[in-house]
Amino acid sequence: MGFLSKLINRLISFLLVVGLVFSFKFFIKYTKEYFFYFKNNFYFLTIYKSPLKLFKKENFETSFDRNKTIIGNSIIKENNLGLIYIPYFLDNQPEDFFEKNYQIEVKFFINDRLYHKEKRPIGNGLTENGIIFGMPVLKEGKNKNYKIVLKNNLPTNQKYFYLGKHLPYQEIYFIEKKQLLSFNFFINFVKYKIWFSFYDKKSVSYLMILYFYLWLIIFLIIKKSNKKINK
Amino acid sequence: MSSRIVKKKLLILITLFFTGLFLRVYISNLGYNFDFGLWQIVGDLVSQGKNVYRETTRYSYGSIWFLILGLFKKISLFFENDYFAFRFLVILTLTISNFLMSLLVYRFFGSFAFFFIFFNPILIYTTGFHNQFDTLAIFFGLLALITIEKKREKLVGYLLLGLSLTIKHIFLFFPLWLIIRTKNKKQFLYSLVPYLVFICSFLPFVNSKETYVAILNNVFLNKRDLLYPFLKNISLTTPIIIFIVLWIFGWVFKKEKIFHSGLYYLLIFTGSLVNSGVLYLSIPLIGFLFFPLLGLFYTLVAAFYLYFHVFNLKFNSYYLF
Repeated sequence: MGFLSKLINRLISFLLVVGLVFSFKFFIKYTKEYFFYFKNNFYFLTIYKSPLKLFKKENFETSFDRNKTIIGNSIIKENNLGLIYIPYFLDNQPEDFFEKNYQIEVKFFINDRLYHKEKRPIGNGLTENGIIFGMPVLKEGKNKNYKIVLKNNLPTNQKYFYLGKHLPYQEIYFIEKKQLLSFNFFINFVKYKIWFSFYDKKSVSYLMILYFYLWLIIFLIIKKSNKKINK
Repeated sequence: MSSRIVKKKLLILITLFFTGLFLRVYISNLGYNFDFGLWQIVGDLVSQGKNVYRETTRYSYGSIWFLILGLFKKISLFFENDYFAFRFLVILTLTISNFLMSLLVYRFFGSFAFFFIFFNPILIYTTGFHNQFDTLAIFFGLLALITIEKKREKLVGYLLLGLSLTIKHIFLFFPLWLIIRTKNKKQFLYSLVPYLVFICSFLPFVNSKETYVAILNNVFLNKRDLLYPFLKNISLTTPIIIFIVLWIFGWVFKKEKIFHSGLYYLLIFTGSLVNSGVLYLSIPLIGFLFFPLLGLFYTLVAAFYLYFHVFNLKFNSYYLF
């Protein structure tokens, strides 16, 4: 029995080492891509904000049927071109939902002038992120009234279609090089970049992989010190 | 023990807990999936006083978890962003259950076990992102096994096991292992108590024929997606296979201590699931305490699978638009 358990232990240790080598190789490749991704998106600035900053609490109804209009004051502060991403989410649908080809149309107005219009299949709303709409952030929109009109062809007894509070809304801007010369702008730029690198999905995943290696090292240290104490 | 040492230990425990909580809340930034969507629906239904089993076909567990969710939903409505408040309460509760479970195994296996469980990347994922409440059921299940081991002929352990089943029926087949090792009629009858508790827990919610049928279909005859295409997808496929496998292993571990056999049970139970999904990955972790190297290998494979495959992280596009 002692020989057998030793053999199994050796075999598992071998598998573990092989697994670690392969995973580390993959991790190095991923690291390179991760930094390349940041380098290539350097002049794109993503700002995360709580959805409550854009919408009032009463807009987050748990369900609504065919149409919905959200009206409010634009809180856009930056004088840049960009997009606002707004997640919509639906749930608890029947099995044949995808076959029905339901669609949702979104229109974005600033002071009653139509700025953006798009149609999307509703099936996407069943995914974990919901339907993410891109709205233009325009400098003319600053402190003006905005209106978002949503229309869909769902049956009127539709339930659980709501504005997702699970994701912050995002404003994405393209920054010009010369803007970075302003000290205040640069400080804000760095602040948002740090927040982005902490919050972005790819970052969370990357940091969790880093965490895995840290966990592994600490685990081995504890296991080894435990053995010494037992001896 | 001097109060200084007690204070120091308490401080360490609090630091460890909040580090674990931070990691779980942090990973929740990845969004959420189908399950948390269900927790929201269930929370809404309970807070509106509706019968969960009748209103949704997706909830297939006992009543305790939905009562907790209903309470959290009501509390969350006091906050400006009730979504975050609700999710935080869920993660906090699950982190507490993770922590208690880790402390329980620390008593038997030492500090490496605490670290292996509480800070395990898989458990952080299933708790923080998936918001799965397996550990809540496992904690009470293990507590029950310890109690049964100490007082084989006292009812309290069996009632605790029933409570664990009412939270989530992970230990559903463990009473069979207890039956296999019964020495007298009393032990045999007591082994059936967890099932009685589990079934009785549904009674307050059966107020019409409709709810009775809903509970029967959604909880007991729930069809699940199977991993293997050669298996016939009928309601009882999964429980029948688990039953056969666990019945055999029940005899293998007949002479093992009850608590230890509970840990093996979690390993074999997960191994025999033919409807496996990533949410089940944290169930066997405690069982790996007997095989730490294998546990490391398991964590390595599962963690990489979760963080790359599940989130489909590809860098094909280097631009945001």
